[in-house]
Amino acid sequence: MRKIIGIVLACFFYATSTFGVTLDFYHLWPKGGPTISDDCLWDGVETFEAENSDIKINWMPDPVDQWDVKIKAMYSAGKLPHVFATQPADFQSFKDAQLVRKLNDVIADDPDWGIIPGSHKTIYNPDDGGIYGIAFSGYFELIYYNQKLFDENGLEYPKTWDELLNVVDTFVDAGIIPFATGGKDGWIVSIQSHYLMDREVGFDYFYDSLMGGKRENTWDNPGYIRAFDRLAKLAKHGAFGDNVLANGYGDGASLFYSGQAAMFLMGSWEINSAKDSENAEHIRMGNYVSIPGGQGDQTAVTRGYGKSFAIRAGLSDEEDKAAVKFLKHITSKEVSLCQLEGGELTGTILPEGATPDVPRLMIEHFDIFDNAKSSWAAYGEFTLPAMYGEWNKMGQQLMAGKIDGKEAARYLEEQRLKIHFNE
Amino acid sequence: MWKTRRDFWLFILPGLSIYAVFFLFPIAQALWYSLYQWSGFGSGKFVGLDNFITLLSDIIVIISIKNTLIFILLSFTFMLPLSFLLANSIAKLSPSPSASFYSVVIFLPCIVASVAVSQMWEIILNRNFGVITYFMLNLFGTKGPNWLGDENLVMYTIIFVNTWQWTGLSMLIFSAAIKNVPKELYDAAEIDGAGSLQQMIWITVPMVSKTIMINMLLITFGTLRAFDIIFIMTDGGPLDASQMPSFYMYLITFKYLQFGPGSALAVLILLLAIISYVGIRVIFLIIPIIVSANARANQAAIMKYKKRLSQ
Repeated sequence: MRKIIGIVLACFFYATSTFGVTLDFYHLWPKGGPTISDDCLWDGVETFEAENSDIKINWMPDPVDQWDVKIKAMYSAGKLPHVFATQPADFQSFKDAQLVRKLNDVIADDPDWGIIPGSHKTIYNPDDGGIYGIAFSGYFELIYYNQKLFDENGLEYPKTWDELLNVVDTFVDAGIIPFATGGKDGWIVSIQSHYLMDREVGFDYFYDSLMGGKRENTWDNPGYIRAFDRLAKLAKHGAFGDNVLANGYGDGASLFYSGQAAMFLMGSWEINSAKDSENAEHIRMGNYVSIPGGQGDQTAVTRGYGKSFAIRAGLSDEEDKAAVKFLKHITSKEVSLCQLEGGELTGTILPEGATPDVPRLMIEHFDIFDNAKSSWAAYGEFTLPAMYGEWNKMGQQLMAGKIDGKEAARYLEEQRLKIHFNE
Repeated sequence: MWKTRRDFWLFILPGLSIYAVFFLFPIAQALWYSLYQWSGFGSGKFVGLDNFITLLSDIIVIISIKNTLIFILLSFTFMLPLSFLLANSIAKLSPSPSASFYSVVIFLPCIVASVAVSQMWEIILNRNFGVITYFMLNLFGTKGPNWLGDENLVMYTIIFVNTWQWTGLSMLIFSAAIKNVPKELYDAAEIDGAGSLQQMIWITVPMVSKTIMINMLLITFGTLRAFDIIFIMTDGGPLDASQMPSFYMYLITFKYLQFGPGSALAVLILLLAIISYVGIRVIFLIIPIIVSANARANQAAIMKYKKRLSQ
């Protein structure tokens, strides 16, 4: 009997010592997915497990739509995984919930980690000075355009609003869709209006009105009305084609890559698809046009860090240690190099002496960025979900010509007061 | 049947527990949340019936309820008769192998996941790259109607796709019911000189009336929880023209993080389901009473007429 008990105990201790710690890792970069981060992250996890046999990673990726919903449900239920991907808009909602570990001590303890200063500003809580996440993937939002279509129609890439209208009219006459736009997905419409609003009023006003904190930064100001009217005007000129509200993100991308559309306002995450598309050699990058009389920086570029990794608060010491080690590995300089070579911005600097082989379109992104006087994060990073839901809706209404800028602005101001001030 | 009251409760306890945990408790929780303003994080604020008042003045809720009614009525008008006629025709072919063949072919779309069906039709109907656009352009030189992009057309397109997918299921349910109609009734009707159409109207339809009710209930509940077809094909658009209550509930709850109004909408959907159920049951209780009263009146009139003739 003693022998049996001894064997059982030995098996138990062997089993527990072998398994060590298992970390649930929930994110949105499936192995073999469309972005370079998918592969870089998977490689990072594999090397981590090979180097740390006592830590097992429970790899739990989901497509972006499902992840977006599930992670919110996890927050609500207070049942977060050990390590998980998060985004700034959610952070605005959950920062008071004390479910996420502060990372200030870890960052301070390891100056060699290589985190780019400011990359975590969207997951920073000014109330307690806490940094709650490490940026994993960043982006630019710029206009991809098909140089061949511009050349064939005797056009140059537009720099001003009037030039843009001329380009739109010429392409429409030639039977080419000027802007490939998947308006079914409201956020794509909002990228366009983001640029127009920012150009009209400047980022400080724009930021405060979106955050909702300052009561005087209203949505029915003359600048926004003009911006919304410009969006409606573009639609009226046929800038988005005749099926814009039934086209999804993928349809928009297909129209551009197949050469049916001339321009595509989208994030740098498209670089991989662009460089593999049938028109890859003709694709160039351009900044958004300047607006006459606009108060904002007319060269500003939308750029930011969309997704970060965070650690759940209240883990055991052993789990916490393992989670920190894992977090450092997947946001290391080596993973960063892998991402950048695939055309994605990262939150970590490159290894010393690295000479990355960066895609041409990424270099063009950086060139435009160098020529811009300022850059700002996209609206989704600091707007409450309920507010950008309403904003997306108004963008679609404007594109369909159902309302004018004034009506859209008035409706959004009503929503802002309701959402931010309970009025 | 049960030896003691305790036995009764012991037997139903497992099922009842699961039902309570997974059905009754979430319903109670939704009722509770519907009275709060809550973003899903931290504690909410009690607002009473405000969420319901807000919802009933929300134009999208009105649109979604209107769409639900259109969806149900058109499904009753087209899917129900179509599936009944198909089941009746196949019953006539039975037991030949072609009856089984047609049954399988018509039922086939039901076993395909709704997501796949929706995706397939979205590609077929795609305005830029779709097969229909391709044929329309080649045959008529025009892209034709914008099936998913026209706000006046989109709901009908969705109802068509839904009918295409689920007619087979209704047909199968009707087939089972038609098989159970005693053959003697048809033989007797034939001797009396009733044709196929008369047999169908006066024998088959009354004999499968319970099945008609079941199909109507299935269509109604299926419509109230319509989600995947909307999510994949239109995202509720264009301009909310294809919003349905379940999809809008998902949007405001999980996309906009407004758990209070989302829960209130869930409660409204539950109420709509209960009202529909009671309504359909009442209709099917009243119809036989009216029909039998009518038959009795006819019978009495005939008797009166015969009596007068004999005098």
